[in-house]
Amino acid sequence: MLGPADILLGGVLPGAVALVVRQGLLRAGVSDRVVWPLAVGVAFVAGQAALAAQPGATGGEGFSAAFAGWASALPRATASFAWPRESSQWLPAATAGAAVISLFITAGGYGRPVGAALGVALAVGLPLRLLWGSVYLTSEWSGGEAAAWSTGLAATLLAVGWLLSRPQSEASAASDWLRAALTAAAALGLAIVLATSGSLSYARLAGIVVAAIVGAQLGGVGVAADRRRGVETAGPVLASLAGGLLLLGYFFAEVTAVNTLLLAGALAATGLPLPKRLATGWRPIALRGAVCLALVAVAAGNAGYAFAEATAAETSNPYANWPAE
Amino acid sequence: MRANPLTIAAAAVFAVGQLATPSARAESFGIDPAHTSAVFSISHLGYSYTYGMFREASGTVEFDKDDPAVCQFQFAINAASLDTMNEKRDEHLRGADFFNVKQFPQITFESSSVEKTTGADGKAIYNVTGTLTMHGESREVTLPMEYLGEGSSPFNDYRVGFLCQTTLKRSDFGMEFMVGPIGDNVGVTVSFEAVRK
Repeated sequence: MLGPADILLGGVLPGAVALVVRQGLLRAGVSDRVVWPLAVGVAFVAGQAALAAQPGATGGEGFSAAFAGWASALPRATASFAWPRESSQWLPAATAGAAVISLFITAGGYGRPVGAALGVALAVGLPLRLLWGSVYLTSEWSGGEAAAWSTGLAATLLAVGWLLSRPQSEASAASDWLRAALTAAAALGLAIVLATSGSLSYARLAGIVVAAIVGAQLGGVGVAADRRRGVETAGPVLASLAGGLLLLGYFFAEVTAVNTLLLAGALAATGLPLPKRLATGWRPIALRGAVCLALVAVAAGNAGYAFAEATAAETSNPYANWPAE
Repeated sequence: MRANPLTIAAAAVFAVGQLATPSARAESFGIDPAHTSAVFSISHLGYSYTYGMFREASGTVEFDKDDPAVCQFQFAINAASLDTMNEKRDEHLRGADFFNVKQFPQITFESSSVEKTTGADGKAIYNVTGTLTMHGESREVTLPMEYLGEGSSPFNDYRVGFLCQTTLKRSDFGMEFMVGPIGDNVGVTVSFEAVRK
């Protein structure tokens, strides 16, 4: 059940943070190749910390008491990212690492191979870190299975990250907006699938990613076009966040393998390479948009149908009358 | 006769060894899973309590009725074995919003000290302090174990039984999702028989 507080702390707040960070830094003359990953990363950490502090708000009556409780819980919630207990608490650290990779990749020259090498290290390390200590690595998988899974997950993360980061030759102001909208739509699909697959807490984190993309994109409004770059500048950060959440959803919630692949495909489709004859005019964004949205729609439809079927099958269903917020 | 220094040293080492081995006089018991119940209750919207249980538990007890200092309690619960008599809710409770059993498959308790007191009804209560690890978070807790009795059983063995009723805060163990609509305080009742090895 998601309430107004979830929307405020996991949607409005990170969106506003991303907007202010991008707008402020662009106006201060900072390059957008630094600003995009920073805006998305800072917004995500702010949103995750704000949601983690939420239980502190239940300690008293009235808005001011709730706010005081939330504010006092905020430092502890933020500090938990330095000593993570749950896998999802590693996402801020992954975001920081991915932001550094973004900087190397967009720096050009020697930065690109250094960024690629760091990207490989993150793609190998992130799944292992998220699954560390779980039943998969301690009892369910043999050594060979663990190696095969690690390789497959790293390769998938790298491929999604590369496509999310891929600049488009036909880039324009309109295509920048559409690409950001598609990336946000894929993240929104992820949030819907996570929510209907048994994890509202992961769904809220995916919601933060949506808000961060939307906020950062809006943060470019009113800034000269030559200073702006597109959402692909934050590709490694988005791949770590969305890829990490997909992985958590598949291994720790009930997201199916099919839906995981569909959503990974939707994220990748935002940067899909196209043959030259199709890469002119409105065609590229229409094709990428059609593929991305179709994959999101199928995944969300799958998960929604399975959820509706499961709840209908229960004779006594404690979730039957949840308000559809 | 002058004592040999080596003899004195050996005696001292032996004496210290006796003191340092808490289970020197305690008897070892293994928890009988068939006669172990781990039940929890939690408030739902403040209007009712939902009850559930864990179906799989194991553990060992080192016990001497008259010497709490040598007693030790250790148990492990399979978190995935939880059952609230509603499959959809059980899936949700096993998932990442609550117990996250794929990441944290076991709930464990390891005692560090035991004190014996007497309850209002004259029954012996062993206050067992130790580390409870749940949802990846370890906390020191004191569990009041009411001694229910011991003796021979019809199964041709020797048993001891306990009852523990306490309250834990789930937020202390990092399980903070939906605190409010779903209560933070969790009533816990554990009763078990342990069979002498």
